Amino acid sequence: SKREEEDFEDREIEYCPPKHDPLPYVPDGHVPLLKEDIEKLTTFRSPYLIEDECSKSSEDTEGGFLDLEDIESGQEDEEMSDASEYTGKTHVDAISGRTTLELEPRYAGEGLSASELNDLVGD
Amino acid sequence: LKRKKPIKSQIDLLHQSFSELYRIFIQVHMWEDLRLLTKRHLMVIVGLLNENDVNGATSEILHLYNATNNQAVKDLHGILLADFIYPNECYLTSLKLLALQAILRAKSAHEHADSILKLFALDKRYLLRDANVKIHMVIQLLLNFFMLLPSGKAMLGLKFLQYVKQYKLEFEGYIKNMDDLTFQDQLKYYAREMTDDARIYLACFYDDYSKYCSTPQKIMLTDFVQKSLKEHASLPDLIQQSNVTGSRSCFMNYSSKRLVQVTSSILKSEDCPISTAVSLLKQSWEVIRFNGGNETNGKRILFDKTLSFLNSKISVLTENQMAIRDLLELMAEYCIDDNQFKRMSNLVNVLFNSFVVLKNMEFLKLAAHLESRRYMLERESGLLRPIIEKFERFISKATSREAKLQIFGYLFNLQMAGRTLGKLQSFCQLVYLRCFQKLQLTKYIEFRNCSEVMLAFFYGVSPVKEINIEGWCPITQMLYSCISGKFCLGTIDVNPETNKWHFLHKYEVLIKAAYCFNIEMSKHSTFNLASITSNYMNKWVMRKSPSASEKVAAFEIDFLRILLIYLQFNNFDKCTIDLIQCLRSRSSTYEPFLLESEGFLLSAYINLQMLDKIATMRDKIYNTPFDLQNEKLETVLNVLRMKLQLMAWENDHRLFEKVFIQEAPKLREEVFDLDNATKKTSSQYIKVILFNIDVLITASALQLAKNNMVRAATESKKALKLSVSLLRKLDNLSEKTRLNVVSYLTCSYLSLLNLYIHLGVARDCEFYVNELSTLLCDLNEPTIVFKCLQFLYEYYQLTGQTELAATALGKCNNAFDYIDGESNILALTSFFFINNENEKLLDSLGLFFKEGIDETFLPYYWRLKMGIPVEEWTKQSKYKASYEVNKLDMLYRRVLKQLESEPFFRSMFESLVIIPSCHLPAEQSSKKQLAFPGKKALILEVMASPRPSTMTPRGKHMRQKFDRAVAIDNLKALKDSVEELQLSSLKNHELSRVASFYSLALSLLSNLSITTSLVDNLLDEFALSELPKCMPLYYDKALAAIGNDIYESFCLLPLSSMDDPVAIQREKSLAAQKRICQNPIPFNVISIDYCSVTGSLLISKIETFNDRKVHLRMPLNRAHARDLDSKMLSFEQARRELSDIIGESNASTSIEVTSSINSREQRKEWWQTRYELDRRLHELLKNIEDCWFNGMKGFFGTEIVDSELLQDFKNEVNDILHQNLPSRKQIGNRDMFLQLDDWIVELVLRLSPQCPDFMPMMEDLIYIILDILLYHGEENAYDEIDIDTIHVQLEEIVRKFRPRLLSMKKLSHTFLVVSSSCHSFPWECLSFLKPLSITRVPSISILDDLLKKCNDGISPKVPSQNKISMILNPHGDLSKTESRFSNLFKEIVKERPNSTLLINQKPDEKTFLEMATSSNLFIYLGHGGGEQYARVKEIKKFDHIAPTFLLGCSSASMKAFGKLEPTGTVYSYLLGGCPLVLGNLWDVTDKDIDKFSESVFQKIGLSCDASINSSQEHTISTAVSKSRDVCHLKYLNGAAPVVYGLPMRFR
Repeated sequence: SKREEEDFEDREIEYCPPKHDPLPYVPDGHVPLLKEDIEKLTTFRSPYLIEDECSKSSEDTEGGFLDLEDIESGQEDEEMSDASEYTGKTHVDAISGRTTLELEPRYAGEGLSASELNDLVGD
Repeated sequence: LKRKKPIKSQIDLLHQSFSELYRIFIQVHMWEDLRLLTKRHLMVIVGLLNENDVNGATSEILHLYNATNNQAVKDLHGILLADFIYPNECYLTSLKLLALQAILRAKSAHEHADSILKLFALDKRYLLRDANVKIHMVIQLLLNFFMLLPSGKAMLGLKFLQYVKQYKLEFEGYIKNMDDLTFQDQLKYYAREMTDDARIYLACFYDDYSKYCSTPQKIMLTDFVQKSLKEHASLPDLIQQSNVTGSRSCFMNYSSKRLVQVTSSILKSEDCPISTAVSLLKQSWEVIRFNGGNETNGKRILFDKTLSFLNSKISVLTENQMAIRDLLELMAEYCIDDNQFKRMSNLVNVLFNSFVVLKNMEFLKLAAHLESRRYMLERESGLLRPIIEKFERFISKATSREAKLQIFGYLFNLQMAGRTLGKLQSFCQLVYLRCFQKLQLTKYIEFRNCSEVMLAFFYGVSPVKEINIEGWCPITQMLYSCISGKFCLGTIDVNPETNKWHFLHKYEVLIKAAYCFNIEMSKHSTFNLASITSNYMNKWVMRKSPSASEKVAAFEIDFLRILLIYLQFNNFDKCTIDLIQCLRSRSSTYEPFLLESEGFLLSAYINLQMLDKIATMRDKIYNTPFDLQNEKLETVLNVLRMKLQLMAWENDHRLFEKVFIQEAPKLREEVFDLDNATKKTSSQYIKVILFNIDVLITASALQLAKNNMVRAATESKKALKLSVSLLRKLDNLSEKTRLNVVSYLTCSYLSLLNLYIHLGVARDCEFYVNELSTLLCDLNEPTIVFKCLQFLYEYYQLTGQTELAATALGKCNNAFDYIDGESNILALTSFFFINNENEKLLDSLGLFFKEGIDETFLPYYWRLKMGIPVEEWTKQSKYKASYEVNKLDMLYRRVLKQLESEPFFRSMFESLVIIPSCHLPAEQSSKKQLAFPGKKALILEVMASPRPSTMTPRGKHMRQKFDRAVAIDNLKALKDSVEELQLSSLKNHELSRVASFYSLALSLLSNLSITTSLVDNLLDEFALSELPKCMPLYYDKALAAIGNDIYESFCLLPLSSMDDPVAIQREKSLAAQKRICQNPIPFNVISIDYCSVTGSLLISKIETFNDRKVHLRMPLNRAHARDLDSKMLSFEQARRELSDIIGESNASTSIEVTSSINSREQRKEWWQTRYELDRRLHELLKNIEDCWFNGMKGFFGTEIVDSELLQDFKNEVNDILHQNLPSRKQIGNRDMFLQLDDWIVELVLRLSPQCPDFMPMMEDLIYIILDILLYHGEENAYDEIDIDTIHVQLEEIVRKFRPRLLSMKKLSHTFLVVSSSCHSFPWECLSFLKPLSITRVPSISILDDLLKKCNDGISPKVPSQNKISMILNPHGDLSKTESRFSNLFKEIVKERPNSTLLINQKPDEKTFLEMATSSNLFIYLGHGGGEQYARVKEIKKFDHIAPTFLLGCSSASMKAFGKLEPTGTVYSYLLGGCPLVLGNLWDVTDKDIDKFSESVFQKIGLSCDASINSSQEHTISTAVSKSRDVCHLKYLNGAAPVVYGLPMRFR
């Protein structure tokens, strides 16, 4: 209408103030997912790594000594007729007197023959 | 070697090649076949000996030994006295014989005499370990030395005699010229040449000899002893003796017992100086070692005493450290001779203690050397861990890094390492675990005598980055990359030429499978997963000759565990089943792993819904006895998880309650120990947490099934919190944990979303959808991403967010490109489903299951999802709800098809469908008995047989092909099945779908059948259609009460059954409808909803004063259907136009636009756009009136028509009809025909002739009346009817009765129940509603609650004379508004006690809530609804909030969410107990809305000027409706305000 025509110029501009975001809605006690949390979910790590790395190594006893384990060692040895038990008995000479021993030449310090050595490693 | 050339000439070449071969054998960890190499090397040695190159032979002997033993030897002595340990057992005997041969050839017998005597003295240790020793050659060598070594001649002779007896040989074969007795006799002579050094071994030789020769003629030891013995009783003599170094010989003369006693007396004596004691001990122990088999216990006790003697004296032994070291080394040899390994370990401890005190590296080195030799000798795998722990101490105490590495060398070498893959892996990784940190290694070092396999295992788990593995064989590189997870090793050729010798060659298929599988996982792909799994099965598990003895290596168990997790993770269910059955066929090998795999098998069967398989497993699981209390934790978790899966699958809450709520917490508390009070290892702790998440998710589903919604939400929230905090707590996740956490996290989100969708609460859904979407953007697991995106797609469809749905579908299909559809049938079928390829879906199931198709329920599951009511649902009770809804859908579609096929009834949707519309005359005029009884039949008959007439109105085809009875039966079936439906199991959107079916069935039934009156069904219909609106609000309020306290304890909530909330709400709604009709004050409750099924508006009305209900379905295009060129406006077009207008208005008032206007020209242009928008909005409202309502405007009239007026008017209307309708003209009187229902007659009465649209409104009503008669059987050819005369006559009676109508009493108020889809329309500004007092309420039952609170007074009085709290311009940018109201508000604060005012100050949440709840009236003049100061979820928690004016922009706007109910700010205030909220539907400009506010304040007595206050009394609704027009823009701003709640009075 005409009246509205003239109003244009002098009527002041009305504006509605900029929007303000409402306080974010977060359910009580909700722990949001952070960027680095999600990153952990995307990094592949070998499935063969040891998970329990941080188990503590056995603590050192003070001074770092290792103590001795006491080992039971069965009852006292029964009295063995210790043939080697001698009390002052003197040495008795051989009955048959000393004779020189003839051994096969093979045992004269040359050891094994070539073929014997080959047999040794041959099989 | 084959070349005939003498070896001597090519020895250098041979030497180098052997060295290189040994190095390679070590590198590829190939000692199992060492014999092949050492045999050839022995041949070389023999060759050299035969070529008389003795030195060459000797060096090669040493070369062979040192190349294959970690602790090298310097000379032949070392060879002779070497111990038989792996790997040298295979050659050492021969090597020793060759060494003896070399000594003979080198004529160095004398030089080696002592070692030779030791060799034969302790032949059980040094020589005869190999069962098939060539004794013949041994004897030959023995006799050679017998000849050459006079000092040992007698003893070697004894040994010879022993062997002859021991190995039953022929004496003569060796000694020709005498018999054995004489020979034996000769030995006595030779004994004389025995030197003291040699004689020390006599006891040993004699001991062994006497064991085999027990004949009377045997030599006596005494025959060998020359000197008489002097008894040394006193210690001082010994001490004095010792410095003459002759003590050893005197010790030799002692008997064993005496020797032991003397030695222990040394230990006890105080006055014996320590150094002499030590040297005495050394000599005594030298003798004891070769003292033969007597006094073994005594010697052992003496050993212990000596050790503790030394151990206690270390600090004083600083000078004679080397003496101590030698003594201990000697005593160690004694231990080995006597197989006293525990004592040897004690000895090592003493060595270590000495090192700790004396800081002499020699001790530590000897300790390490002896500890490793002990392990190699004893070969007791159980000892590995303690030995490694001891080495850990050694290394940590070693001072320099070289020392640490040297000590480490004794432990970490090929000889110590395991010989199978499993043992090798556990050895290397145990060494790593214990020693790596202690070594303070920063970069890669190649340890001596270590294979590349050992380095791969060791460094694989270590953080050391750069490892040069180029030198390694490809198979080891693959192993390394598997373990370390590093793939930057360049492209390893996956199929290298295999090195047959390599240790790993036997495990090649396994390692290759693990390697390819790791690459697959690192790329988060599944394309090769199926082939990797089948390769592993066929080529490895089912390989021909798996060595039965070898246990499954930990590496393979880890591989299997992660493979099954990844298969399950990606729904490769068939692969999982095949793999586990394959493992079962090799159960002997895979026995330890089978129980653990059961869980995977069960979940695969459940995914594929193979009912019988699940049933068999179910019986097995529930029937096998299981000791919950004492079983290992892992087994307990596995078994409980399987039971959990079964309970979830069968919705078995009774068993869940028994096992998880009653039994498990008591019997095995640690399973629920979430704060790790029982100090479990981290991997166990993670397993417990994951288990608890699984339990909580199942608990939530069971609570939901039992309608405990608050508990269901609590359990799901706990599950989500646990998953996120587990993720937060771990800094890097192992692959197993990562996959588990990903699936549990997404499971928790989906479980929460499913719950909130079931409840219909949009806000929480949106919150969790956003969280899930942010997760999905970065998540790179295609299967999980696809599953979630599919869920989101269906969610966005449900909430009408079409663009988001389209993007979700696009992304979903992209994700599917990364999925192997052949193996993952769940993804394939979902993919076909969301892309509407239903045939392909069913075919794919056939292809996947082949002949096993009838084992799975999936085909029926998917048919149910496609909306087909499948009878087989009975096999799975949880699908009952979807079966029921499908059945309704099918019934409904059958009716629609029938209506479509018959044009006569297709047009029904183009005209109004009303309950009640008309009824038979008989009921009407029961008072006046009809003149002749046949009349009723006549009337029925008239209607039944249509009058022959060719002239039919367009679309109303006369041919009666349509079978009305069948249609009625179908509609009745639809109505009845809705009434029988168990509503609480339905999701909210299913509930609203069922409600629209019910309303449709009722409307069509009432239109088609004339006999049944459905009015009394309206009570149910209103209640049912209210449910989908009230339930979400009810739950929103209930769930808002869930606070942080739920996370204090994570134990499960009881599963006791609660009453059914839907049934309760329905009862409440029925009761509410009855109660409001007893309210003394007359008012109307009119609900406006949009039915997307038919595209028409559903309008219902309850007139409380005469308890009358009416429900009508108003097609929006009925005018256009009648006359093509009349305007048409669909609901969607109106909604879009409205949102366009609001969008443009917001843009025009934005700060960017308004701040750039400074010239007058711009101002003029700006105002033009504003007026244009105002006009468009006005025009939109006008179109809505004309196209949608038109003749129905009277429906909202407020005059209460009394029956007398109504009857008179009705008679007139019937007369007009009787005169003008062809179907009535010639017969009977007006009362004999169908009688229109009163309220339709009222519609005509309420038309106002002065209204400019009187003509079209009257015409609309006439056609409505004719349609009603037509569909109820009274058919008239429309073009035969003289519509104009009817029109004129009706207008005449309307004018006549108008004054009487206007004199009637008026309703006081109208409540509008607007559905969320119609929420944004400013219904209050329609011209016929504008003058009325109208407020909106969410539902009838909420209205009833409000009324109850104000004991049924509709307009309770607001005590606004005090306690008014006001917030003005809190943000500070509404200065004009502030200036307009600051005086008024200050005035109020002054005048009205306990009022509070906040100007230009941002309230914190506490203050805002305080003002809203503890005052009589709360006025907020700021931005929006104050959501930036007080969180909406806090507001809901209250039970009382003051009547509230939220005069900011869009404070009452509520974004629609399709089939879910949005709870905007206004609804939150109502939920918080606020009886009245005034807000704006969209953004408004400050000046206009301030004028409106000012006017409202004045009308409710809040202005400063007393005179205005006392003028006419207003309710808030009348104040608002009167103030709209003060706005300059009556529609753009004036139409925005809307009142919710009760029309409260202010005075």
